[in-house]
Order: sequence, then C-alpha cells, then structure tokens
Amino acid sequence: MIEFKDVKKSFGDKTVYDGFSARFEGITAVLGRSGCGKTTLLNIAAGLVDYEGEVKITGEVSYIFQQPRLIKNLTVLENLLLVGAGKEQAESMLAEVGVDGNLYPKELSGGMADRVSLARAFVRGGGTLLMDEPFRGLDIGLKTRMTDLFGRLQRDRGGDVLFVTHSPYEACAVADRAVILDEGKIIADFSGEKLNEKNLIEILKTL
Amino acid sequence: MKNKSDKKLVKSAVINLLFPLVTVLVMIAVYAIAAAVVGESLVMPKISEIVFAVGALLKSADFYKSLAFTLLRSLGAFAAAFVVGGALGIAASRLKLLQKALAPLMTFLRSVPTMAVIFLLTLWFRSIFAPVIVAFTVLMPIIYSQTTAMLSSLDDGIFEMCKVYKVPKKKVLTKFVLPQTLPQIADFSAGNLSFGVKLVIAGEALAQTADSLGGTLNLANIYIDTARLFAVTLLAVTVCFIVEVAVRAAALPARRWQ
Repeated sequence: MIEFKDVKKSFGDKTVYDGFSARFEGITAVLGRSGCGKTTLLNIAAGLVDYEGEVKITGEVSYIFQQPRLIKNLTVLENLLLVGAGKEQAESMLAEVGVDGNLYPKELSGGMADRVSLARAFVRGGGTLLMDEPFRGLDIGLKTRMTDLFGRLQRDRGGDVLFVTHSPYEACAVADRAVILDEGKIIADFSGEKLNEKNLIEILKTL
Repeated sequence: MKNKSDKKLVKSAVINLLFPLVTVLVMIAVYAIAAAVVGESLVMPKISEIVFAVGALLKSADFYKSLAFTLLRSLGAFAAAFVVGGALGIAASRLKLLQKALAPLMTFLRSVPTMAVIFLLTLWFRSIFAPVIVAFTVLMPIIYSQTTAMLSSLDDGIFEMCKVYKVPKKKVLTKFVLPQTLPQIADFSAGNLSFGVKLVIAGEALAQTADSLGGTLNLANIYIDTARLFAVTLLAVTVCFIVEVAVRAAALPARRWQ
C-alpha cells in the first residue's frame, strides 16, 4: 500500500501538489501530460525530494528509474549485490532476465541495461515498486518482451507498484488500475472493465 | 582471430612507441642541425658535448644528492597541496557557502603570475623552504579546482539510486566514488607532480638553493656552462617523465573497468 496524505510540494513559485491525498494498492499506472508531476510523485514516495504532508509505504522501496542508473565500474552481478541481494538470488534473477552477470554496463545494449534495472528492483523481493517510464524508447518487440517479463516477475514477487507512463497501451498491459493526473489532482480513475485504451485516450487528449 | 589481435598489438606498439620515438629523433636532428649552423658551443653546444655533460653529471655524487633533495621538496609540496587542496575541494563540494567563500582566494591564487609568487616567496622564506612554498601555492588551487570539478562530475542519479536502495555510505564510497575518481586522481596527480618538480626547480634556481637541481642550473648559468645547463634540463625532463609514467602505471589496476 502506498498512501499520500495532504502532500504539498513546490519547486520555487510552481506548486505541483497542494494537499494531494490518494491510496494505491496492486499495480497502478499514473498518466498525465508532461510536467504534471508524475515523476515528482514517485520521488516523493521514494524520499528523494523534500515535501510537506505524510506518505505511508508498505515494505522496502525499489525504484526503476527512467535511465538504468547502473554503476559502470561494477559488473552487472556486482550492481545487484550492491543493493543487498545474495549471490545466488542475484544470479538466479539475472538468469531470469537473460543477462550475463560478468558483463560491465558499457557492454550492455539499452534493452539489456533496462532488464538489469528490472532485475535489481525485483531481486529485493516484496515491498513497493516505483517505476518511471521503464519501457520508454524501446521498440514494440522489446517493449512487449519487457512487459511480459515484468508481468512474470511481478506475479512471483507480489507487492504494490506505482507505475508512471505516457502510454495507455502500457498502462492497460501492465496495471490493474490507472489514474490520470492534472494540476496536482487525480482527474480520472479507471479499473476493471473500464480500464481500456479508449477510455484513457479520451481523457488524455483533452489535457 | 589471432591475426586480428596481432594487428591490433602492432598498431598499438606503433602508436605508443614508434611515433614518440620518431618525434624525439626529429627534435634531436633539428637541434643538431641548428647547433651546427650556429657553430658556437657557448650558445648551442653540440649533441656530443651535452651527452658528455650528462655522463659527467651521472657520475657525480653531488648530482644525485641535488636530485634527491629536489624530488623530496617536490613530493613534499605536492603532498601538502594534495591534502589541503583535496580536503578543501571535498568540503566545498558539500558546502556551497564554503565554495563561495573560497572563490576569491582561489581565483587570486590561480591568476597571480607564477614568477611574482616565486620572487616574493624567495624573498620571504629561507632558500630551502621557498621552492616548496612556491610549488604548494601554485599547485593547491589547481588541485582544489580539479577536486570540485571531479566530484561534481559524479552522476547524481547513482547517489539517488543508492539512497532508495539504502546502500550503506561506506559502500557508496568504496564501490562507486573511489573507483570512479581514482583514475582521474591519478591523471591529475601525474601532471601535478611533474609540474611541481618544474616549479621547485624554478624556485630553487631563483632562491639559489644549495643541493638542488635548480641551484645546479643556476651555477651552470653563472659560469656560462651551456652544455651542463642542457644536461641538467635534459635530466630534469627525464625525471618528470619517469614520475608521470610511474604514477599512471600505479593507477592502471583502478582503470580495469574503463
């Protein structure tokens, strides 16, 4: 569970959130136009920015950033060990995502680096996962493989996921709830049968 | 496959050994021609005279004593500048107020003409200390700037990732900060140490420091012993080169990931 209570956040004169409250469980996609505060919401949840108000999160936080953020002087395996994974656990996770643990980040393609970032987040087990457009910039084939991989790993892992995306397709493929943000508020909230690309696009094109 | 790696090895040997060797040979040839054209040993001694003077220096115990003291002063100045400049650089990258407070001092130290520093410090301090203080005064602001630039070039995104995943600070330092900065520190240090030797020699020459390469240069200048002047210069250049190569070689294991 991820719960925001009366959260306020400004950057200089620009107010992004002024008393934002919401509660997320399961896999929730967050959509909205660029600059509406989607990444800021994840950064607040991760404790990476100062804010007013209260945020409650179940378990440990893992974060899949827009860029893989791998340490280039460490091998892929060492990157996973750094976040507290056991060696066997890290090796088994790397086998799952299909990346050789002895490689250095500079030897990875973009897709492989994204899979390592995914492995690093999932190797910590349950808890809360934050994802900031992790499939951005991937071609459709790779995107499909990545969303499938995410689905498979998430089934084993469990826990809650807050997932920022610009893509209604990804939201429907990955999430079981989708909210649309605008001016620091949730202006639309879809789940179950109402969560489909048509409904999301209809709202998004009015922003 | 083997053929390809052999070709790579030959190419690397040509680039790293042959090209610099050819450059040195061309420089020697140009000098030999110029010396023959001038035809005056007091202005441009012949190569053979310089080689003879180098041999004489290498046989003299005084030269090794001078070399040892000059290197010791250079190392001392560099070590002090490294500690002070590095510590101030680290502190200033964490405290922006300190960075602002130090900015005028560092700008002053960086822009003041080196010769003015040498003249003043040789007036103020004893001849054995003046060259050390000269080198420290010039090197410290350089190392300070290199440290702040190096630390600000570290990826903030990695620090955020480490914060989210609760990576202990000690591990952040040993697994990320040090490995990524050590190659740069080695590069800077090789250049700074070699520059420090040059500064110390300049300071010694002007302060007429006893038992020093600078002092030896100064005496050769006073006695218009041009061949000896060239020989000391040549040996000083060789020492700087060896110092640079040694520091870079020592840092090679830290570059494995690059």
